[in-house]
Amino acid sequence: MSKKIHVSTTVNGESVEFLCEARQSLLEVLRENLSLTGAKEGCNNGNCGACTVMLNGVPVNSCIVLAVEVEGAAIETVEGLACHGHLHPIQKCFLEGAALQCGVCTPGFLVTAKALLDKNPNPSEHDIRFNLANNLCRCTGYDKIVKAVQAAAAELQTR
Amino acid sequence: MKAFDYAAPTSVADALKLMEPPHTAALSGGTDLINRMKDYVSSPERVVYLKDIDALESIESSSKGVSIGAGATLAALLEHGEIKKTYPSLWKAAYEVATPQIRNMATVGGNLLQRPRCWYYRAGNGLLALKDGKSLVREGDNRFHAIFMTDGDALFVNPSSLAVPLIALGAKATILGPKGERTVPVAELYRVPKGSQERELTVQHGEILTKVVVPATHAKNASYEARHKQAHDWPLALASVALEMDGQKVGSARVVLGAVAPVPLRSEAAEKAIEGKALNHESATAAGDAAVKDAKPLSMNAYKVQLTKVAVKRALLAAVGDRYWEEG
Amino acid sequence: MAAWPKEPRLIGTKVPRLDGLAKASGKAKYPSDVRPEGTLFGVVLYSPHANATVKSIDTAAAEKMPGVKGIVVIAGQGKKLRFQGDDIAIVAAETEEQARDAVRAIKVDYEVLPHCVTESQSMDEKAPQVFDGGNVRKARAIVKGKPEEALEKADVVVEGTYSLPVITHVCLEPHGLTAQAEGSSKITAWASTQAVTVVAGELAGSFNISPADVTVLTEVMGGGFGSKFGADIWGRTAAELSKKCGGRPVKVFLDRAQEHLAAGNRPSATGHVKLGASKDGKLVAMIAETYGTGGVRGGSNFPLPYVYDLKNSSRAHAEVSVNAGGARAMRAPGHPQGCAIMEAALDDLAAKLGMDPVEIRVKNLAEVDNVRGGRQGETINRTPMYEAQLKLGAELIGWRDKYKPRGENGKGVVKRGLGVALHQWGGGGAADKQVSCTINPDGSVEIKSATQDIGTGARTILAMITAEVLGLKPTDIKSNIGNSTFPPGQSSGGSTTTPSMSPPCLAAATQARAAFFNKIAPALSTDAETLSLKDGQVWVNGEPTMSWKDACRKLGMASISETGKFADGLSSVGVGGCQFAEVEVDTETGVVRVKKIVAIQDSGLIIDKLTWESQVYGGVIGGLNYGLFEERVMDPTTGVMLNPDMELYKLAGASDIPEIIVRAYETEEMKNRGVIGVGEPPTIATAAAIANAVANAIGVRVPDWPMSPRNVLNALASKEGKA
Repeated sequence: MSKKIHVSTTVNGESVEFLCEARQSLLEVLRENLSLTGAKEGCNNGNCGACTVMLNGVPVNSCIVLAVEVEGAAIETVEGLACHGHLHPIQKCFLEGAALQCGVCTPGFLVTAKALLDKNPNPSEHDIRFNLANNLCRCTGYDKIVKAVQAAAAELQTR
Repeated sequence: MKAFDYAAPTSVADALKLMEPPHTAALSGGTDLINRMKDYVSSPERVVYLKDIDALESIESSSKGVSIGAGATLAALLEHGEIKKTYPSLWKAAYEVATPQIRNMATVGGNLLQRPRCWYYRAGNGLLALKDGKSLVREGDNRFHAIFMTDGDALFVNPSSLAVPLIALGAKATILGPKGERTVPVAELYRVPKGSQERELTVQHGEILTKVVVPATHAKNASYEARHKQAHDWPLALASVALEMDGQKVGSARVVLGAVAPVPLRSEAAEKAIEGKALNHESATAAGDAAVKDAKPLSMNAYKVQLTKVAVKRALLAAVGDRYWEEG
Repeated sequence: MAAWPKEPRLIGTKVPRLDGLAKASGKAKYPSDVRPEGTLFGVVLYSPHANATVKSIDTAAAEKMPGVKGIVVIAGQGKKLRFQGDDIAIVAAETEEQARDAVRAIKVDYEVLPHCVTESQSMDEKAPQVFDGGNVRKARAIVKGKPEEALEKADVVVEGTYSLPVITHVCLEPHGLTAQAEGSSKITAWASTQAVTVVAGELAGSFNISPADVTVLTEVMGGGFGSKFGADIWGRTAAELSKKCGGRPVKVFLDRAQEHLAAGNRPSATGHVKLGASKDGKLVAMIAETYGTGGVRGGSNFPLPYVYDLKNSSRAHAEVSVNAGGARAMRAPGHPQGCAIMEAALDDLAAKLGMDPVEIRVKNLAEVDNVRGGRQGETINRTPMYEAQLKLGAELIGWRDKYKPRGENGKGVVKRGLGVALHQWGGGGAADKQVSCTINPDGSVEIKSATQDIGTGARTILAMITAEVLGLKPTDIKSNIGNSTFPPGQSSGGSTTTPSMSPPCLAAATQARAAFFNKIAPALSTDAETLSLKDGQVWVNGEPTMSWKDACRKLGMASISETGKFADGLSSVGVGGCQFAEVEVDTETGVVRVKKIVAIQDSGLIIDKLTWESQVYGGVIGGLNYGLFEERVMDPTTGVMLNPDMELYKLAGASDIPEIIVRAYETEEMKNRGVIGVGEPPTIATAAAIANAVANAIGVRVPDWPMSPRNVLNALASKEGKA
């Protein structure tokens, strides 16, 4: 039963194939098989959001997705946000606005925020807070995170 | 989690065949099952992944109502204009479930058939959490447990937020199994288990919930959920109402309670209290009071009686657009 | 001797953290991300029982399982297990799944013993003993003046019982490390820790080698809050497993449940308090009997009376042992508990007197409350500081316009209320720390110390100080910390890191600059005294003459390296602060929503305003979680924790967080004190201020934290019952 299954998928725009056990989570495969350690394991049961990645364009908790489920899917991780060495405006605004401290929650926030702005370029403060409900931060008080998302939205609008 | 065989069929027929052997579990959104597997609360030998079956995902509306595939995600449900317009009770309940990440994965079928969140069950004490014949829940920390039907041993609460409005709206569930298809009212998906060997769900081994059909309605309907946190929390009490109006008065009413009993609970007492009355604070309060007449809270959850009262009152008033609690 | 610059260019400004880029791009490698070639995964088998003895343990079947490379038994036959989560054995295997499978294949025969996991269970006369010698250790009361007599003469007395639950640290990155042993003589470990040197010492001790042969690396890490000072049994066992497995690295990080169970917590606190005052609101006496549990470790005592001037007081504390994981320092150990109980009682007294809560606080500050000034022997009276802070805070929350006496907050179901609380903390520097500063011929500058950045900004602060002295940008400095082999650095705890590390950093940079001037002056045909540094240039007699890089080339082949030591007069100790909360309480549902928090904090000279502010925000959210959500729930029957997760162990999400206003109280007098830490103080008063705001809103004290619907509705129901 612990035989390995072959999975073909796309990660950050590149075709990727891997072998995994059916019981391995997408998070584990990203971190252990593909060495993409940007997504973090905070709670391992879908509550803290540190493992958030985009699956076919929407954010999900990769710790409660089986890796075998992503056959044929497109995955984006925090490592794919920056483009040719240029930070995505969300990353820049998090950095400049001190919206991160210990930083373990940050990749999850960045991916969730990007998903929000992709869908809703001009979110209200309520929209931002509502959409970040799955991402827990123990350090920042969220205030600067919300402001960073607002700043990124403004910057993206002027492009 | 224990190792298991994995299959990802693309048709319902294939899925049914794969579901035949014992110790098989259907995987849809995975937001409940995968966690149970990680905690060794459920250890299936085979997992059948249903999300590759396109037929299970569709949401279709017609003059008869709306048919929601069991595999439709909660995110898809929320984006469906007809549901938001005609069934605000269902829309609101789905809106308050979990988080964006979870709603992107979790499905309507999974929400209906998820297992209880009772922390004794999740800690591996079995569904009824009996130890030496005594209920751990009754003796222990039952702050989140049932306040109705508490004479028996099933003291967990049904965790489905969608079942509550679906029952109020008279929805029916279609179940496909080796013996064919059957359709039951959503309320009949649930039962109070009589013993440790019985599940709280009526869906049998080898069966798949395929869709839920909500009939067309003109009923004013609304849901109200009382919860501790704003972000990502479970309801402490939930009420959904569907009201057929007779002029200014309530003609017939359906009032359903969630998170307060081992099954989603229809409150006929509350329905009787509001039927034939004009809907206002006084009648809504009376209906809330009636709803909890039979409540028998456990040692630590008397506060849920108050929350249930208020949930009923607020759901009723919300149905006619009165959200007085938001005015401060 | 080095002194803080009078007109700083960088110090006191807002500088984004230097490791922010790595963190925001997902490239930062946390200890739990590091995978040296050949890493094995360690999984801990821990006790499922609250109290048991290991009758026998058999690892034979587990050893033979696929991928298993080594097992170390921690609790062998006859060993007592005192709480759920107590370590039994660790398995190292090729994959995590294999290690988990093997852990389940270890056969342990337990003699399950009766337990007590709650204070009330433990305090029962017939309770089983957690340790020999009794479950309740009651200390003799500390008495000041004549409290009984004074209380009898008091015009007004309030009496109440207030309680706060055990909470856990919930660092987002779990505890653990990856260890690689080279035979028995050397160890390298990548540890998620607040103290690389402590971890190195512990690992060295367990291998009986010198700490110099251990390298502990913590480039970045994911939160500690006081719980991550040591290698812990799991870390020491990881090193042992690595040795056992021929030097393959072994990674042992706890899972979320173990984090709650075994990796520390803040003790509970219950206080029965009698507080008396004269008619004009001046406190005359306090009598408090308190208890709390730190699980199997103790340490539940907390400061009480707190902040305010009490000439007569009696305080007796009882330490209650229970079969639950041991307490560890958690952000301002003891203070949040003492603050919550003191401030609640004081507020109840103010309500009884019909006095304004701000006024009663001002009235009861000590006439003289001296803390250290900038230099040894200098003092500063904290009372006028508190007064000024209260004035500023009241203004920012809109106290004058919004405050209504308790219970007079309108007729609607949703009531608004305001609350306030004061706090204090130490936070001074340690005198034995060092920083080295190296200037290289290529113009690069590196500072080194065996301290670490736990998310606070330590790395950035050290770079700022160095850049200030050398006329460079913070990003020009390689701020190399998180390595135990570097010059001795401070553990990140007690708000001591910045005050410990800033003085030696300033000294190192200042010494290096002097050496640099001496070295290059001849090449510039001038005297060292004529040289200065600014904007990346070397200035001669006030004129920019040569770029920093070109000047460094004049060093030839030799770098300059200076080690700075701690010097007195650059940092201080002892801060105050106040916080205000505005809440909305739905009186029908008991749901509390915090609308606004105002946090006023002094902490001497602030180096980086940006990371300083972040620290205060972080303290406030910690306190808000304590006030509204967090609670470790233990099951009396089975002895296990019922919510060892991040779901029913509730933590605020973005929509639960209000507007937070942070203000530094930073007068010239404060700046002259030098650097003081800020990690702890801003988390102390939040839960107290919130609870006071709730009482103000609904007209009745909610005596039990957190301010959950259950606790609020129960308080409202008891009020109706009495009426």
